[in-house]
Amino acid sequence: MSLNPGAEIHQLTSHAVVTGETFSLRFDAATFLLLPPSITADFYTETTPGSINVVLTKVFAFNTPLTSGYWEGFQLLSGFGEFNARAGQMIGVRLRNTASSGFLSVDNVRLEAFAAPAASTGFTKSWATTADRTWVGAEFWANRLQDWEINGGRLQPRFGLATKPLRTVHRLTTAIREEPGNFSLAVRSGLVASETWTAGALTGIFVGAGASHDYRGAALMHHKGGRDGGIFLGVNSSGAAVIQDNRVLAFTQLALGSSPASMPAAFRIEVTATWQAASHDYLLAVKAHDGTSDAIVSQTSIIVASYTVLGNLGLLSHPGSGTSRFWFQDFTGSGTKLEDHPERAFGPVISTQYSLSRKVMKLTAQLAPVVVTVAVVGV
Amino acid sequence: MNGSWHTPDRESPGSPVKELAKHQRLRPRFVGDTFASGSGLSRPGKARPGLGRPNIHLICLALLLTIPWPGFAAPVTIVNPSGEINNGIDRTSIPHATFPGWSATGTAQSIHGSIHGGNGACPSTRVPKSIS
Repeated sequence: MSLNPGAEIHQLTSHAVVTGETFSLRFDAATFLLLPPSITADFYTETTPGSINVVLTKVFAFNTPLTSGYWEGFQLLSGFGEFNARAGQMIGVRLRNTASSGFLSVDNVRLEAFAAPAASTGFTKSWATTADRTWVGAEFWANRLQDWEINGGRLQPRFGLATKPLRTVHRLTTAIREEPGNFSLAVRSGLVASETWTAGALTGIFVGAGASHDYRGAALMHHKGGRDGGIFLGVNSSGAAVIQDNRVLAFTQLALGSSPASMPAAFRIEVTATWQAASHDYLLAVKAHDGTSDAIVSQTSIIVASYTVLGNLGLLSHPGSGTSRFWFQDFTGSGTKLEDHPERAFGPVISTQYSLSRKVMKLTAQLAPVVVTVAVVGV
Repeated sequence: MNGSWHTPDRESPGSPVKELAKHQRLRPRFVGDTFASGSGLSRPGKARPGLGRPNIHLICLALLLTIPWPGFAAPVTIVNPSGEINNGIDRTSIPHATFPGWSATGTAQSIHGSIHGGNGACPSTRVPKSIS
């Protein structure tokens, strides 16, 4: 569906608004000819046929630099109870091109209703008692599987190479909800003993990876940026809190805190996402604590669209220009924006296949890389 | 592999599979059954209960759906959400009889410059960009 300058499309659904409800409108859009730079989305109701009464409107800017034909995902999200005055009326959605030149296309429009805020949930993961091994556990997916290990009760990359950037570990069993809510994540991290900080090296947490994909497809995000590449929040080689954008090809800095006077030996990195009811956006904040004293040594924040926090979350170790790699301990999360998915735990058996013929069963199994140091006895 | 396994009903009369199903009371199975457990893949449904008999399960489900459950997401139907139902003709203005679901003002089009928003029909003259 294409919208030339000044054009709009709209659709009135058959869903009557219920008191207390909220709505999430998801869609994909692309701008062409490098214009327009934004698309406008509306929720509306009709009291009489054809009379559009807008409840919520929001302008969504495409990522810069504008790239012709580069599709992006968007979300128009309302707050709970924001439609109370329109209870009983049918809800509609409208998409507009308000620019004076260029055109844009729209795809994959989805609308969901949420009756009430979700209850708070959370997770705690410590590898302190986990045996040394390559497989990082069923709640996570490591990129690549052979690039990470549990070593001395810590999760860490097995190597740091500038040619192997953005090593990620996705948490499979926790998802980000679509409806309004808040969450906080925290992890302890530090430089692996044999390494030194190199320029461009980063350690911390990512959110918003692969929102337009199934969680399994999203779990492959690593190495390069691109659409739905997510937002990184952590610490850079100066010890400063930093937020970087991985949704474009060039890993771009969005916000930077002040550098501490001295580099702590380790950090506790804390990330919060707070729903902004007035602007319908999210405040993403990162605080870098001294791993020993827990004093805040640097912090920064940024306002992002609600779509930006959707998708997978996890941990990221980036070697920069050298061989830096970082360990992680005590990964925790909590909040009403989080959703438990224990059924998504995966492994150590990845898949099995069998055949049965004339009372003879033959079975083969594919396992995650569970052991690297123990000698294999027999077959 | 789903669907590659023939159900007994599709076999010719007197075939070994049909005979086996009749005598051993085997329910038709699909290869997908093997993977359905815990994988999230669908499995063939059971036979529906007879019409005219009140289904207490459906009644309870309907009652439960009226309760505002926290965290419960209800998809709201959007007709033709990706513009996948279209006539394949470039620059067809919206609204159009062949483009259901959407109303429009201004110069909205189902397809523009051989670029369409959905996964459905596209102009027959369009050469996929991947091989152009």
